[in-house]
Amino acid sequence: MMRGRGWRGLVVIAALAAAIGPTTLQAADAPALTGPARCRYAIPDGMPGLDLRWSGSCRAGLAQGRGTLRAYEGGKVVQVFYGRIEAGQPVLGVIDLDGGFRAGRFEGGKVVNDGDRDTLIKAFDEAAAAARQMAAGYRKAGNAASFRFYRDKATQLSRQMD
Amino acid sequence: MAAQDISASVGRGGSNRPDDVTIVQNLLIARGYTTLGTANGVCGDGTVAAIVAYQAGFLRSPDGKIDPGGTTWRHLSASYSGTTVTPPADSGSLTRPVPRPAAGSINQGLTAVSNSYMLDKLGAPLVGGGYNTQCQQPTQPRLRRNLVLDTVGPFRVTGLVPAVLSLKAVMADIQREQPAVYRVLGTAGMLCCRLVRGSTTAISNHSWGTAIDLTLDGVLDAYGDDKVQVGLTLIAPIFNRHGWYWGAAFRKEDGMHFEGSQALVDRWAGQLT
Repeated sequence: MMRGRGWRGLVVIAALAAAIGPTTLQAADAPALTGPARCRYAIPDGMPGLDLRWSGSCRAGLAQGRGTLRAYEGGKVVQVFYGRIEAGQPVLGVIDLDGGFRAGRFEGGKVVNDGDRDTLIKAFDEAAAAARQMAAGYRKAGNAASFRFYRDKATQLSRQMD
Repeated sequence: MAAQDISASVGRGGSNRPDDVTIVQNLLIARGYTTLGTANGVCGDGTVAAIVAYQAGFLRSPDGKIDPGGTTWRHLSASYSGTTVTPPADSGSLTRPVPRPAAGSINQGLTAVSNSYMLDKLGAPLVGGGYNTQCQQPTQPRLRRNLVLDTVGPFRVTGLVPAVLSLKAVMADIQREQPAVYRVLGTAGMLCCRLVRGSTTAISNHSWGTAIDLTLDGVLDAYGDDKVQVGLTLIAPIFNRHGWYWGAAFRKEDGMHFEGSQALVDRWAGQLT
């Protein structure tokens, strides 16, 4: 059973953690976080980092769950990450490039593709679900063109590994 | 050995002097365009199609014509002389998407397998069925006996033994003829028993370990966009001459996909223990 002094120590640590905030409690090898204070995230390796926008859930000031991270240049989307982010770090998904994809699980912001087909299938499944989520959002907002784009992207992603 | 020179243009709209056409045809045949048969000095549709397919590997707009001293001639003659074809400046240019080659210009003389053909030749991978959307290991005893995990060029794969052995030969040729592509080659997997997405009956051709998906510099060619990575166009003729069918010609383009053709699968089936 923990004594009173031990409890006080834990309370102090918890208070310090709350004061420091979640962004500085990342693992030492995790990429730095960026984005708005209410929802920060690490940039997947290779994505341009000037103007990024996360469309997905946030928790405790960090991107969390399935979503889409879009990179803009001159007001246009130039690259997109579709997938899952946990505590601000990308963990599984796909980066949509010109005519191709980087896909797999992510470690330290970098995609890891060791040729494991099952992992790639799961990455594209997750990416397709993220694209469908975007499409649903645009349909609800009445944006037919963007709805169609993300619906078609979801179809392409879901069939990539057949 | 240095390549012979051509004296005038060959191909679509070219002078097409018989001696020059013969030289070009021999070079194309050496590059894997074996459906030209033997060189005959006549520049017909098949020769033009082969030139276009060859040019698709390094030209944005193939024109089906080879000029003395021109870009296409430099590529073609360099490969024939035994020297390395000039590699693109960086690996990024190998992943650049280009229009997929015309249907008649690739997989010449090869036929893609169907599910019924695979089932007839190699049997059902899963005894009693039970396919779903995730990868499973085959349960059919003969198939299991003939699977192997082995190093194939720059990566390791699990596949049917004769298919893996054939891949080793393909990779050896790629290493020799297209070293820049070889350096960035990777795989998105070979063996995976599962259903084709959206189907309750069609089995993926990866279920038998006779198909492989490739990556270039870690990038998977996008499915169904009618474009393929430049690097894939450079190695497809090598796969073709070993009897592998390129998925770029599928109704829905699948540029990263190569699989044993009907003739190859038929031969492999006879080699199983």
